[in-house]
Amino acid sequence: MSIIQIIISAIYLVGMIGFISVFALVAIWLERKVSAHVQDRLGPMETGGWHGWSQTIADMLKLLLKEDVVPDAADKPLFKLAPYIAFTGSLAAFAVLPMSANLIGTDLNIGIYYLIAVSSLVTISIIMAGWASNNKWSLFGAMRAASQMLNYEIPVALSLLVPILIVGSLSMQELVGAQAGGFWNWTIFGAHLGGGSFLLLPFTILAFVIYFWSSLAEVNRTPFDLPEGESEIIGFQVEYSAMRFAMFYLTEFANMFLVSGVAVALFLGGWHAPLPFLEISPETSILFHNLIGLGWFVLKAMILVVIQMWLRWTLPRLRVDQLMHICWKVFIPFSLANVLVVSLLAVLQS
Amino acid sequence: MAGYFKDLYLGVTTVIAGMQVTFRHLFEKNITIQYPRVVKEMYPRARARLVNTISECECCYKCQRICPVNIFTITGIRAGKDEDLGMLPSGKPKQMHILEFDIDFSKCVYCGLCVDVCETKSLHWEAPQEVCTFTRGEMKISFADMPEEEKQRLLKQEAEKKAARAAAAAAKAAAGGAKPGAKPVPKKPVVKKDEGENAAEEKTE
Repeated sequence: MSIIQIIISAIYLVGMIGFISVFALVAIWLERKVSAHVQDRLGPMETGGWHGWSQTIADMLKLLLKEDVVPDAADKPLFKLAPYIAFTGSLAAFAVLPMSANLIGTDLNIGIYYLIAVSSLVTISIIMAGWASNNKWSLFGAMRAASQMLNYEIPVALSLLVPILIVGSLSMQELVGAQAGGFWNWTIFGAHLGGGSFLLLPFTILAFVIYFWSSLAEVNRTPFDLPEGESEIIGFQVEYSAMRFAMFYLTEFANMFLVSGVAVALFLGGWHAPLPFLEISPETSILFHNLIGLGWFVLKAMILVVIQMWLRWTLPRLRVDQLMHICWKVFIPFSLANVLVVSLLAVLQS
Repeated sequence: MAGYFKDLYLGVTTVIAGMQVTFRHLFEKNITIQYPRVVKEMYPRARARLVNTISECECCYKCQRICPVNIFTITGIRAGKDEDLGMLPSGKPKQMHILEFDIDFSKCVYCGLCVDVCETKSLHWEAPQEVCTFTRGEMKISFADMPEEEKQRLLKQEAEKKAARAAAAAAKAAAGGAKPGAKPVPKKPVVKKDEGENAAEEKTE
């Protein structure tokens, strides 16, 4: 690995952290606005002038300046490390997220596999946080988080197998590249297999829906926010304050973007425009090709993020047994059958 | 098995129904009132603040006497016969100088008895939007609009009058001193006749 490659990687890493931070600031503001308007309120209106746009910046400054309390009886090294491991797990997954044609950390040939594996690191950090806090409620929250997140890895992985089967690759850029040339080529419409017939449409849509719902459980958002339970049941972050708490929050929002990004990359055409003429070909300008691609990717991901927020402020929280019921009795059988049917069709086609 | 699929169907349809409801609310009119900028109109009959229109006040002390928590501090001086203080809304001439009319809202229980007994309707409820103050002292609101030097002049005049009357009463008592037992009798009618209102004034602190 040459020096230049290392420098480029470092720049990309810093840029990605910056992107995640800015996204989190925007998304937290948006979340407040969406929640407020769903409940016929206004949300933040004062800070910064126009609709309180800088409220989250002010909140972030507040969290930076607050005292960082570490409980006496806590396991201090683990307690201090946990939020950073959570963020690292999330950030590591961003390395294979194809933001545009060339804007990808590294196009691993097992990209999606790596992504699923490394994003499970968040679970470990949550258990770390719950255990190290030396607080029963934290530990309960961590236990709930672990059981929930590990369970929901299975339907996530199974539903992601559908586009992989259709495209026949694990590399993120190849998965995206197969969906070029208009929205009718996107995996969610199941067009690749069978040359433009929409035979696979119900199966791909089912896979997408299962993926989207399970990913909600993976990022701990309502209706699956049992690990946190911000309002009533106490989650793993009770003992955290100031910057460490902010890191967990940042991780949650980074994960929101990550799961939306994966859904976009695998099902919704990635950085390709919905109509071919809305793109600039790499021959005309490589820079604008990438920029427009990035724009489409972020736009699509943001739409999914808004849908996540919309769902969050619509549905009540599930009970643990209901959560497990949905995972084991609904999502897993359906996604298993789905994978079976799709692989059968794939075999028949080839 | 049928129950399982029914549950699934219900789950999907109710989620969609719920999302429709929240989507409608996204664009509905908000109920938030941005308070310092937008001030909501109070209800006209709200018992928020007592206000005394001092030009219409008879200074009859009825409000002070009926108040269960003693929030009024009133000082009035009867005007001389040659003084013209204007007319009350009822058509009677105004007879009292009002030196002091303070209401301490930190004590008020908002029962409204004082407003009920007010004959001239000068004491009434108003509904201002902002009634909060920073200190308890600010809750005591003064309604009398008499300038300080005028007040001092009236008080001095009144004291002189009183002294003169006391002297007159003493002289009268001295004159009729031969009659025992008659001493308190002339004094009381004097007070009642001329200073009926001022007796009430002396009750105030």
